[in-house]
Amino acid sequence: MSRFIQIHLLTAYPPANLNRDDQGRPKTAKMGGVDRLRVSSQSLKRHWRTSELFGQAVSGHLGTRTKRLGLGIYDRLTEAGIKDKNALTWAATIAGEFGKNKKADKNDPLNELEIEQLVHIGPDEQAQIDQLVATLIEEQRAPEKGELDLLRETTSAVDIALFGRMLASKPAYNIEAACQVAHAISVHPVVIEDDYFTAVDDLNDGREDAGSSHIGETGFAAGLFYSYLCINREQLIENLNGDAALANRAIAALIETAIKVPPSGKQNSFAHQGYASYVLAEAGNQQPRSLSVSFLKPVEVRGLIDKDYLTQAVDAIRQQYQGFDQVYGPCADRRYEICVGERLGAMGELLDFVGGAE
Amino acid sequence: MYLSRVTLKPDIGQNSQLGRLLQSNTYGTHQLLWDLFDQEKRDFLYREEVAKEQLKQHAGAKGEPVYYVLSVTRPRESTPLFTVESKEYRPQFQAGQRLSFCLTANPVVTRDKKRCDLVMDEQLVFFRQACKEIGLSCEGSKGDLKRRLMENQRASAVTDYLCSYLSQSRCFADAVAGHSVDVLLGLATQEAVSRRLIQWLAHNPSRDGLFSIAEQEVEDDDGDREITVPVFQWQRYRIHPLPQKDASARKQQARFLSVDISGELIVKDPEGFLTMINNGIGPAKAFGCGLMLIRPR
Repeated sequence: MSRFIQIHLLTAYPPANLNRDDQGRPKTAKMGGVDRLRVSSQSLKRHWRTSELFGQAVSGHLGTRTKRLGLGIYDRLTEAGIKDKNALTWAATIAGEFGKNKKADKNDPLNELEIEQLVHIGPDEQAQIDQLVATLIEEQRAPEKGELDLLRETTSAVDIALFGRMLASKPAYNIEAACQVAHAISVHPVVIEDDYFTAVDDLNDGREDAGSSHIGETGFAAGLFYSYLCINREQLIENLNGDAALANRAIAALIETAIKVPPSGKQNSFAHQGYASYVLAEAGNQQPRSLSVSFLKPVEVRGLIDKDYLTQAVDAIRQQYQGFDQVYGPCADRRYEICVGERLGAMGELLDFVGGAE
Repeated sequence: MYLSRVTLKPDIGQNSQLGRLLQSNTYGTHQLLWDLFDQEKRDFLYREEVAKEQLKQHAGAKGEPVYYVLSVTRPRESTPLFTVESKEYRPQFQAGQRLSFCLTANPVVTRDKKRCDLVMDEQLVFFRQACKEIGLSCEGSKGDLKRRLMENQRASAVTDYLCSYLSQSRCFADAVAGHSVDVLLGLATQEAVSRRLIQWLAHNPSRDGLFSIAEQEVEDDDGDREITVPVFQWQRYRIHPLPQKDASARKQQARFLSVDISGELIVKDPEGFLTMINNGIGPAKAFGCGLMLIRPR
């Protein structure tokens, strides 16, 4: 069985999909001495995790991120006729198992039901909570100590199994991420200087749509991005309590999402614009390595070179992995390539390759 | 009005020792800008930037200073030192127009009839407020207050206060939880200064109603929520020594502080806004402060 699955992607994202910083400017990073556009790995993971495509592919196996666990429990208890004071105490006790309760507030007694930090819980843990609440209602009593071990060391939620979870108050129930995601970096340099001088002409004209002519100059340009994911299949199966079939489903869902869903907020309608143009999937037990070094020297189109960014970037990736193989011996047991420009490969075959990478 | 982009000639900026000398003596370079004009009285605003363009077609190689100059009269087209590109500047604004801006300013506040630096002042104000909320004594200097916040028996109360202060900012509580008190205090102070600077910039009595700071939604990638924050940032808080008129006088060297502000704004009163741009913002205009550059976003 191949322990690691590595995915290398080249995706041209349109400007609308860029990951902005809190100033509204695209995120950037310096690499090889020049500024590149960057999409943070947190942003990529969030958009993959919350995309419709991923949700449908692994429906029933997604976790919930919440601070308001206690409120739901409280509501169920009071609806079932439990006295308000008891409902409050019991719900706060259960919520407290998942994180530190917020401070009691005289004006808002329900405040105590919330916890300070988000907790990411799986469907099995949620079922456990529901079961306990039902018991409490039936037996009209407070939860006992032995009943409060509600957290699990493994999970049935693929998003938790893939991206891990951190519990500040209960580190024993942390789950180590089985999937590493690199920040996506443009293969070419970008100009991030705000050009206030050129903009004077537009300001003088007083045009309503002024600014559109600067799209290329202010860093809002579209970019061709290199992204990299590394999935540790063994870790994933372990996180999923040995369920290899679910692990395979999760891997296939994640990779399809990574290929098709760009970081565009909730705008799923942009998805079709963000398909990867090149995919290299690798399976093997070798120590993983990213191929970002292919773009240490930025891809630049200069003079009369008869190649665009994409063609050059694909060449660079191929050169790099072949170079690694030659020097270090094969860095993967098997590979599968998709290159849209060359009409090479097919999505179905790629998913078979990664899903059944045994 | 005229807006000009002024750069050192390549022969000087890149190929001569004079270029290096000028780069290490920015105040001297500032004075040289006077050579662009004939008049005795200063009727221009300027702003120094360091060129960071990566493409060759832009003026100014990487790392060299670039000056933007807004003047009443058209500057000379060329001097032995500088290359000057000028454009007539007559921007037409509409109410509701959204613009990106950047500004180097010297924000001050008057306390006890003395001008104090606003950033310094806000640090003191914020520390006092925090001490008060947590139930500590509010007496003493800024250093005393900070020490009191860092070293007391109620560390968790301090952490809670700072986290809840930060939870409504672009530093999300989820993201900052787990940091040490000094990191939290640093972030919270930065946020407090940011709020105070916005107040100074957009709601100072002389400017109130001309424009407002734009807002945008920021995604909290860990918390799956969105929060509205002002598009506003401050950085490069710097001390500039001024040349001493009389070196023998043993006075403390004169200096001023500047801060770089950038963000997005929404024009409310087009006419008043234009007057403000032309006149400049805040003190220290002779020293490169007060020129607000704008562009459509």
